[in-house]
Amino acid sequence: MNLVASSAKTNTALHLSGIIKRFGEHEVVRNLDLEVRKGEFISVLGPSGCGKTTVLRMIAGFEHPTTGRILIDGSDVCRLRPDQRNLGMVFQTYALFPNMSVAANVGFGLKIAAMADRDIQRRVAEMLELVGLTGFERRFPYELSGGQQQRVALARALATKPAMLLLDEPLSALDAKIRLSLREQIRDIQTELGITTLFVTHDQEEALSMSDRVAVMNSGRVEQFGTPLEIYNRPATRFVASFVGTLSVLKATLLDPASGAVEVATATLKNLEIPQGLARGDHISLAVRPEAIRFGVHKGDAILRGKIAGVGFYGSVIRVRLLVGNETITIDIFNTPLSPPPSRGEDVDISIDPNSVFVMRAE
Amino acid sequence: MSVSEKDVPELGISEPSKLPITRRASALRRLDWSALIGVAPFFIFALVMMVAPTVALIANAFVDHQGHLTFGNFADLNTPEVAGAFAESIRLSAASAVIGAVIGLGLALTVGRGIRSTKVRSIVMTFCGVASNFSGVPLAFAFVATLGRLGLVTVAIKAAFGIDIYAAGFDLASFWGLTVTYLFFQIPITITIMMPAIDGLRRDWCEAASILGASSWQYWRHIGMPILWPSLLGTLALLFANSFGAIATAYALTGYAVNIVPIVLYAQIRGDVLHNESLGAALALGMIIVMAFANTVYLILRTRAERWLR
Amino acid sequence: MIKTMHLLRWTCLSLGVAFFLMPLISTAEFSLSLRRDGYSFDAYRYVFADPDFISSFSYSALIALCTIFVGTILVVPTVYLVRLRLPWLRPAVEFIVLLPLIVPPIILVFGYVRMFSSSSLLPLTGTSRGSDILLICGYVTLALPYLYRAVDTGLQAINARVLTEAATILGARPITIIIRIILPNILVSVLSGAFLTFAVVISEFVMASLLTRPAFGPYIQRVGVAKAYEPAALVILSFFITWTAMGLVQFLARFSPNVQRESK
Repeated sequence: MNLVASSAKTNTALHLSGIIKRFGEHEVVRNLDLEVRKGEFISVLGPSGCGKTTVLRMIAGFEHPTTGRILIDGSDVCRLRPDQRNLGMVFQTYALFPNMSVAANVGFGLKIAAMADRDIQRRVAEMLELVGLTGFERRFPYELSGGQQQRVALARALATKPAMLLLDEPLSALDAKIRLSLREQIRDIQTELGITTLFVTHDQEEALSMSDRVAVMNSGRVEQFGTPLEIYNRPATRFVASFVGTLSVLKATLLDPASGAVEVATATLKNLEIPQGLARGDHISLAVRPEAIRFGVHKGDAILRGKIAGVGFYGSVIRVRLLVGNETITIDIFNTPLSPPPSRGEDVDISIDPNSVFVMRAE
Repeated sequence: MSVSEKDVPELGISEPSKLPITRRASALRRLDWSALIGVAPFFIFALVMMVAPTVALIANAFVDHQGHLTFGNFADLNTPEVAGAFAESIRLSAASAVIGAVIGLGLALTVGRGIRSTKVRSIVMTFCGVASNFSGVPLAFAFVATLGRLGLVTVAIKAAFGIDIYAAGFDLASFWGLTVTYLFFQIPITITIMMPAIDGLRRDWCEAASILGASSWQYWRHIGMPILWPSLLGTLALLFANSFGAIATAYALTGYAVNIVPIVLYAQIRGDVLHNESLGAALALGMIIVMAFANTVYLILRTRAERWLR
Repeated sequence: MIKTMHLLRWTCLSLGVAFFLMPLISTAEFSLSLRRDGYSFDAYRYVFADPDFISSFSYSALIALCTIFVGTILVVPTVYLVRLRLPWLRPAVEFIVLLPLIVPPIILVFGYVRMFSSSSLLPLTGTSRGSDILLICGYVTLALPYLYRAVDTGLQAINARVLTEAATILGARPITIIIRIILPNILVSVLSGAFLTFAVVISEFVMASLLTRPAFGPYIQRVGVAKAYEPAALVILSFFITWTAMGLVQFLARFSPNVQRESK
């Protein structure tokens, strides 16, 4: 009882506590806790099958948690049907009603709520302007492109002024270019309206670029819940480190936990941050982001020597594959006209800032 | 100043008469002759064994006994017997089509959406395939064995409830008896056609409607039924056409008792009553017009439904 | 609430099942009641012993096979060639395939009787062989929509155009392509159409009777008029034959090759 009252006073729009979902023998969501503040844009990021869509569907009301509570704006919604929860949802497959025009689609929720026709018309026009589709009122879904359909779906979801907006991989079915522009549009609209938003995706670029906070899920659990910067720069687990962004991983042996000295491919690196529980002689993995490695010798950094195995041109970024010992690591450098990219077969020195190395137990 | 060669336009000035012929010849050469020979048997068959007999028959509707051109046969169609037969045929076809469509839709919805078992569904679909082809003498006999005077159900009802349905006015060899018998294949045809349409009702439409606040009934009213409507109307048209052209069941069940167009036509061909072939031809034309109309309606509605659901 | 819906659904289904099973059960019961003092298979025994049964059934079966053969060799090359080389003919083919639905069999056979009567160019109705040919043609017409639909769907599912192009680049000639690549892959569709055709032909009555052919349909009608219990046995038999044919169609559907569909 107290919990409910206090949540209503605070800023919490959504509170999931102890959510477990089982389909027969298979546990899809394991003991999940999540708290979302009002007005936040939260991404739930994870690979296929990690349970993120199931979590969204439980919030919407299409699935029921086996145990656990879902509180929206402080009240338990378990007994409410999806049509009673006052939420907005955008589907991966757009789900526009094919027998209705764009205007009828957008106004559907308002018609169900028995709003006056003139008010519905006004609101529909407002929503279409918001998504940039003024003038499309009389078109039908089959006449629209994928991106246009999804924008109509967004307008439809927002028309009823829901308490929260749920998006289930809305951009997955779209072309790359449309995906990028729609990403920005969705974020802009969300900021303008200030509506609490939950965005499910498997694309980490989407999650990182759009969200206030990201929940990274794996096998039914949230492994880390933090800002994009935190997730990327300070991953809490090995999974988060490898799922978000690219990682270069080197095998090493721990020499001295106290001074942070490790041995990597005949070189010794010092001053690394060693996590608890590791002892001298343990096999460990060093993981580092491609952009944290620099060419040349820089004071204070850990220095390694390697041979260039391949150079890939990605436009603004040049990705270099370097053979260190008998492992390959990836280095990203900006494509600047001043310094020519390195060539295959060259022997080079690289510098790694010890602070940007993640030390993990070897697999 | 002299005109150089460059100034004279090239095409057409010198030999204009040759142009149309070369264009026609090259068009002919562009035809895929080997492929056309490959499809020729099909078209020859269609022409000789499908189009020609029908056209010859229809042509006969416009001549009289002496072979002179006349529209008299159509006037003869206005007799009470023939006009009555058309009316009766339309009544019968409409009745079995509407009842068949409604019941068929109900069953299709029950099996397609209500009951989620794939085993039940596949058995039902196979049965529908069988039942929609089960017509004519076997069907008539089966219904006689069920609802005839000594039929199993008739006897069972008398034994269990003491009601004699024949005394109450029911007769299998009548309009309604025939309608009920026709339902045995009309309902399966409906299920077969409507099932893909019902499958086409995507689950995310239902969920989207639900999130937007619609109850189950509101979903059906605003989205489900409107989407199914063209397919349903099309099915009605098809059922109508199917019933209109059917004769075997009617003949086996009611003989000449129920006066419908195919029976009248049958009599004309057999020469049982009035050996008037021109009249038969006029009848056939009348039937074809009705069938063509119904089938056109069906096709238009089907195309419309498909366009929406692209 | 959910329980009530569930009950309602199963009730509807049960009522439907009852309506469709009752005639079959009644007929089956009737067919077993030849002997006054209990159930027996006597009716079936008499039927199988009847020489007319064997002759009419084999006649219809033979006609069915001829229909399937003629229908297939007419439809398969046509559908394939129209798909690949003559797309502009497609409307014409679709129209022809639609004709059997607009012109009911009774009218078609009426047309045959007139056009091929003893006083015309091709007096087919005069001879029994000629009438057989007419019957086969009539049945091919009847089966055309089914055969066309089955083969067309099959060709679309295997993406015939792409397969043909791939085979051509590898050096195959058109005949080789049809025989070694297309036909094996649409065999399932062709067989589906064949079984459907068999089911339709076996129990057909109108055309066979009007062309006075000794087919199975008229035989059932004759027995229906003459005897009491044997027709019931025949009805059950005919139902099982149709059921087997349709069951085979469904069974075959599982083996249909499902290559990636052509993108629109």
